[in-house]
Amino acid sequence: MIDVASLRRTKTILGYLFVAPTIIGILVFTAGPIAFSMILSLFYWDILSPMKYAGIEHYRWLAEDPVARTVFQNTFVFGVVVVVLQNLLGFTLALCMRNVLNKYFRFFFRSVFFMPLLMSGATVSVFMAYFFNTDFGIVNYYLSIIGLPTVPWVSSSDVVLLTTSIVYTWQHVGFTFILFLGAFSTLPTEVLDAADVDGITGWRKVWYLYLPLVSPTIFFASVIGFIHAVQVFDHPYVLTRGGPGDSNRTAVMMIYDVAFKDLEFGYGSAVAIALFAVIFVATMLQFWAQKKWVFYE
Amino acid sequence: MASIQLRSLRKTFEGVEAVRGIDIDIAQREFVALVGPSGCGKSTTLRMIAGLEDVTDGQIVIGDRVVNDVAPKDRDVAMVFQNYALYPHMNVFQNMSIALTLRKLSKAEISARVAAAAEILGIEDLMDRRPKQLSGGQRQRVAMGRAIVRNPAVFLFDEPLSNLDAKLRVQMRTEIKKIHRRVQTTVVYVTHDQVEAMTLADRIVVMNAGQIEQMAPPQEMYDRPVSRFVAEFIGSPSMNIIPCQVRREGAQVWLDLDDDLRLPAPGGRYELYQPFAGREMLFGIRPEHITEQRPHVSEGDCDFSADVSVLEPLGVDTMVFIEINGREVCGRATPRSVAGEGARMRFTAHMDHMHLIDPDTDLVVNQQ
Repeated sequence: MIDVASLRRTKTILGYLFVAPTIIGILVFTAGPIAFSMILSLFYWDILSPMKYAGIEHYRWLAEDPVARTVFQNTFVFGVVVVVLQNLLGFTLALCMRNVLNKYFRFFFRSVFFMPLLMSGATVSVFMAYFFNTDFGIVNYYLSIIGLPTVPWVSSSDVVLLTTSIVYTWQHVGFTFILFLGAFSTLPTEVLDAADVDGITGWRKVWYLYLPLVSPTIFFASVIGFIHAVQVFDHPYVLTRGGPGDSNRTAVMMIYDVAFKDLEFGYGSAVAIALFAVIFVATMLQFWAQKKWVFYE
Repeated sequence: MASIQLRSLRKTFEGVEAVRGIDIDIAQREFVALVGPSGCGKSTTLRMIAGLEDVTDGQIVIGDRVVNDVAPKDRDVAMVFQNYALYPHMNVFQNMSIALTLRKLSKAEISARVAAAAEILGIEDLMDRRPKQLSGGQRQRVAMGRAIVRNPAVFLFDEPLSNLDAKLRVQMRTEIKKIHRRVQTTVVYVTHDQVEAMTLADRIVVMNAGQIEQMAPPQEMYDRPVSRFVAEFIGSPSMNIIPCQVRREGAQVWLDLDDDLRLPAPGGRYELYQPFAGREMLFGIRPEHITEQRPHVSEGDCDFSADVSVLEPLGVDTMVFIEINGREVCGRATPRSVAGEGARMRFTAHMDHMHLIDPDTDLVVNQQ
């Protein structure tokens, strides 16, 4: 006789065993650190001395710290600018590739645009720092050749965040580009044919068809792009060490400075939790807004 | 409405000839069905008329102008696609009105045209819905509405009913016929379903391997196929094709189907068939022309016996399968007349409707 209850029990135990590595991984490397960070934000701790309860003191510091305000403003603006630039460029490049270039060129450019993504942000930033150098950078050199005024790309507090956004976008646009290329390749051909017959051509096609039809991809690229961008560290750090002043300082740089330079792990954790809150709220807002502009078939 | 002329139309895809120089003249208001098996070039031909495929060689004339290099939107054609091709992010009204909006028609004019088309198609209540909220039949109606509102010179249909279930397909078939009667526009309709072609079209064009096999009104196509391909393609169940030996006895011509069965050729065709005496030919006859034994009403009727192998009752008739010369042959009998499976039964072959096919050319020996 087969014992059904015992079989079921064995099956359940086996099931748990199979998912155990994943669950343990999440607990140890994701949920655990988040929880620890939340707890740590309520304590004073410099590694060397014992932890001391601080309550919400660190959050009060954060609210009153003008540097923190600048840093979070920078981070948010950077995230938005990068998302807009990545979507615009990724969409446009993919559209050009779809409509203009033949398949050999397409393969070549697909690889070329994706390549920077394989490099480290620090490496990219080192040579981009030369490109955007105000005095001897190649960008200003070409601007002057065509008669345009040179721009203090990394030396002006008004421009430096835009420079970092451009550098970051240059490196990451390949990902968005590949996403859009994939989205374009799955567009229903009959719908595009119908559009040709109906007279939806040229720019009208972009506005009336491509944008709405790839809106799920725009949404995905925006959510992922924003989450990734606001955690930027290496680009602003290598380009200008966060300067001039704090104009190029981002939240993760602040976490690094506070926790690892000043050894204030509690305050550093509070900044990290605040950044998590910003990402969470921004993502929720995007999910709420997508109901109005994203079209699923 | 406009006439269409295809002159030596040719289309090549990377060295493969999909359409091999076809000529078709379609009159104003005519409903022409392009029919044929998959890959025969019918959809490519339609897409060339629409301007969605470039023409490799030849000419397409719509009305009185050559449109080879005219953009699809400027050809004054509207197209209904197999998968409906509705814009998924637009509601029904927007789907139907977008082409008019882009032509900068007044809002009043757009509303009037959409309302008129919606009334014809019975979709007035669906205007605010998105395509995903519609059934297959409703989507197809909207697709037709989108074509109707443009009031085009030519309607192009690319297998529009293929995605519908059998019942809805029959219903929509009737509706398309009614709509054509009402809007009186030239229609080119592509289908692989010969029943659709037979029921809808004024004229059928049967295509095979990129060429036209035959172009004729439905009944003529059915009664007088010019080739074995057309004979077998048009009609369901398809025509029986049985090898036979043509034999001449005096002036009379006989067709020996096997050792026990020989049938006389119809009297009026002796002269036509005499040159084939002594040759292996193919004898073609439709199932409805092999019936249970009936009183002879024409000179060509001829009785024979055969063993019934399978019966397929359809209600109105029963399909009776017998074996002749190693081939399964289908006849059509009234339900009460049929013997059981395995029994021997008397049949009447209505030889006036027979066809003689030359196996070397696969062409039907001309009856004219």
